[in-house]
Amino acid sequence: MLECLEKQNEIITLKNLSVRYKNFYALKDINISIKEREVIGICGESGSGKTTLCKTIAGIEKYNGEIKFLKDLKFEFIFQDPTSSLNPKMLVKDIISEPLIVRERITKREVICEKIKKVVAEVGLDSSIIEKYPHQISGGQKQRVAIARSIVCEPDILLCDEITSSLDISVQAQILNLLKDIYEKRNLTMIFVSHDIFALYYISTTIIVLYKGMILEKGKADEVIKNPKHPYTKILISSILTTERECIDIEVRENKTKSRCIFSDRCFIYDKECDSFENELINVSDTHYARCIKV
Amino acid sequence: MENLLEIRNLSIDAKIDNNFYNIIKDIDIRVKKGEMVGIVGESGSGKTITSLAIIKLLEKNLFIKNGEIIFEGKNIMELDDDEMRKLRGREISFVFQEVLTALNPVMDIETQVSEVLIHHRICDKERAIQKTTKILKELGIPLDKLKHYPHNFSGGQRQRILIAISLIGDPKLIIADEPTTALDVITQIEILKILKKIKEEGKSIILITHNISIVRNFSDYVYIMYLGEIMESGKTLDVMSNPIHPYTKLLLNSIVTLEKKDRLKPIEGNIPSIYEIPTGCRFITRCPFKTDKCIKEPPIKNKEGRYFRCWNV
Amino acid sequence: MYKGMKKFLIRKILFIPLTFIGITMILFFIINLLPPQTLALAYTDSDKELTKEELDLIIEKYDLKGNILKRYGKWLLKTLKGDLGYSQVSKMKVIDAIKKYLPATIELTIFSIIPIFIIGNLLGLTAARNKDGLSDKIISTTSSFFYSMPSFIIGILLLLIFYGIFGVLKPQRYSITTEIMISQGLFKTYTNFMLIDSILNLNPSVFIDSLKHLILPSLSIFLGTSASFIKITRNSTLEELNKDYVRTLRAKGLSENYIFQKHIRKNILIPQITVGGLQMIRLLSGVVITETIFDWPGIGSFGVRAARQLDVSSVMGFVIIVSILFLLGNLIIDLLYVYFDPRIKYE
Repeated sequence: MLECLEKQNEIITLKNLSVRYKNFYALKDINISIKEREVIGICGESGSGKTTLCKTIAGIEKYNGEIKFLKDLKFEFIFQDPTSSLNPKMLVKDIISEPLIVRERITKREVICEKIKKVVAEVGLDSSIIEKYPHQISGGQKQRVAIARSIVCEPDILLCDEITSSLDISVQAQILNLLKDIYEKRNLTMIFVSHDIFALYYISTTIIVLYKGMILEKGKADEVIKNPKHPYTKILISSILTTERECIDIEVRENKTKSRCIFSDRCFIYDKECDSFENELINVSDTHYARCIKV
Repeated sequence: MENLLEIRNLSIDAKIDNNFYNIIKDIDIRVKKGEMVGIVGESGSGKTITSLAIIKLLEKNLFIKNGEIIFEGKNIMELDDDEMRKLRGREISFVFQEVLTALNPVMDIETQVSEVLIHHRICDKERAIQKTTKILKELGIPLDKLKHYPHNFSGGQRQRILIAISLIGDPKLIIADEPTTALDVITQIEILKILKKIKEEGKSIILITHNISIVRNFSDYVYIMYLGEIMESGKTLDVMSNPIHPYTKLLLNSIVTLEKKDRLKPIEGNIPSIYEIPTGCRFITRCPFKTDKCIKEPPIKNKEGRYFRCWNV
Repeated sequence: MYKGMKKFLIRKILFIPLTFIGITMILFFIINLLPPQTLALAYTDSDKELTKEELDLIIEKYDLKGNILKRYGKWLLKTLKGDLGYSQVSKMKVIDAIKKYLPATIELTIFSIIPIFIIGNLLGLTAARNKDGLSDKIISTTSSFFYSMPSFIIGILLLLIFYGIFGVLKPQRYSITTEIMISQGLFKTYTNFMLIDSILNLNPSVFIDSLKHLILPSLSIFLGTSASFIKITRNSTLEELNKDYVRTLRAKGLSENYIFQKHIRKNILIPQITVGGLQMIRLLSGVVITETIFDWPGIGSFGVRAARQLDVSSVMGFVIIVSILFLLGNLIIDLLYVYFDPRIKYE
């Protein structure tokens, strides 16, 4: 991935963002700055608020705090389940051309056909697929169609919410490769959400770890993965059982704590010191932050 | 050591719209006492169907074409419904993957766990409740929550309740089908550790998953399935460090790991649907090493206790 | 039980009087769209033309003219005190008429609804367990057949067969013998429920007689309306059989019978209560056609007679009683939901 990001402009800034549902916070104290051409990897499990974050950035969620956009940006979304995000009654070609017609108001048939052809080839599909219905193609192919649909309008920002999670493992790597190719060919900024921290490592420049609506750690991908500071990040990394080494034994604890720290009830390094923690993000370096008193 | 469970030459067909499709072809699986066996496969591999065949809970449109399933010397095919019911829950138990819907929503969990004992007449109600309380406590479900309903529990807790149900009859064999899907990372580790502990107490476990990494760390022996066939099998550590079959090799290569590669090496192509199953080697549509021989079904070869199906290795 | 339940109960109970006022107000206003002279005719017996003065007297006496809201208010106060007026069609106080006719309908309803619940449940379960088999086809076809027949045809056919041809069962509520006994004071109608009263009077022959009279109309109701309950039982059962938890139960080694009796039965209660409960409420409002065919002195036929003769007080009384039954019935159904389904929480 591109390394010279420091020189780029900040195109989206989230300041003190929070999203509240009735009586709990789906997101709290979110501060993120997204530069052009960055790939932000958001790592979170279910209930962490990652989807809410995507929706908030895309502007379809009510929030408190500030979101600043440098300029008018085109957002595109790709979702986890390709089966439910493609209209089963539409042919692939109509699915892909829909944004062109509705959003870009393109009416010339030749222009539409040309764009469809191009984008179908770009996602690695055979051109015969445009005459098929979603139920006639496999999960991996469906996801490629979803990706094609999202890039046909030349978006500025691509939001991917767990796009590989419901695919077979032998196909997941294909999609990740494809995403990387698309990123390198186009002038895109990406926000990639996944619970698989290694997929994030492969594709992101920056990694943000979310837990129960708060950012626990954020920094450059290398920093966070090779030198994790927050206990939760450490668990995520070492517990992902890879085939190359033995599973590092994790101690799972259930602490009764009075601490403000949002992770204290399951933390394996919790002690009395944590009770006085104010639950703020602490600098580890210029770009690396962690929300832990032990840093 | 005699095998607790032996599946020999099992083939299963599915009847769809009056046509028969061969879903499972000629599989052999052995499980010893106190062993954890992993079955790894993606969608369409037939791993769940195989496991349901062991307890004879296949859907009505699935038929066992040939083969035998021998449990403790008895052929399961020859048992009638009553005898089969006596096995289920007691000798062989199952842990399902649909954690959110696998429990009866209008019944409290104490009843749902204890009824295994009561229905099988293992002991009376009082004793059954005692055992239920004990086993749920060991699995981390507190006493004051016994009369609660499934929706009062999180996904991880419900999985533990399902495990309790599978353990309470003191079975010899436990089949766990994707027991950690939909659970968060920390809970996954907890559940897998519980299963490991159970194995160390002498029970046999069949662990079914699509996640090859889980199998690596938690099983003794592994079977790699693809499209209804067993492509490779052997001791887990051997298979993981020295894969023989192309599918296994490619699968291990395609998983993202810490070593950042410039480009991932996925397996090209898609898994064929049930209507497109190749007649010879079933991996032929995606194998980069295929030759003309592969149109015919490759035989099972044996190399120092490692079994695999390939012409070209 | 639950925290939210108190709030829910309070809300529901408050709802009843509000709805009650709403219903009666609307009806009152509609009826009073008719001119007072027409309304006054309901209070006369004679066929001869009344003079203007006589009409004015009646209008004055029964408060048939004036500001409609004030009159509604006065009527509401009277009603709440229990004075529902006088029923021209039954020649007694409306409240007494209700006391006389309502038990007949309630008795008929209970006698019909119990077989619907018990036999209907059995038939539905049998049909589901033997899906697409012979018993399923028979049960489904037969129940749909009777359900689609107009109710009066079933009634008439039953009367024809069992009364006309075989003469074993008769219409009306009790035989002439019993009627004489009542008028002579030999049989005391304490509650107006014949079955209960015959026990209280220690009179077995009246008990049997009442039963004989109950059979035909309740059979007619059963045949005509049980199909919806049977269908909901069958379809809910089939739905449950496809659910994941049933597979868990089978994997536990539980027998099919046990699974049906202990597990599936509980899960189909909610849809059954909905359909069955609504059915019961409808029956309580008076199965007019059945009551007419069998000459059953119930609240339904009372309401029809009152409407035909523009007997305002009786119509209002009928509406009041039916509304109350409806509202109470719905409240009970809601309470049953909460009791049987632990997932329901009212916030």
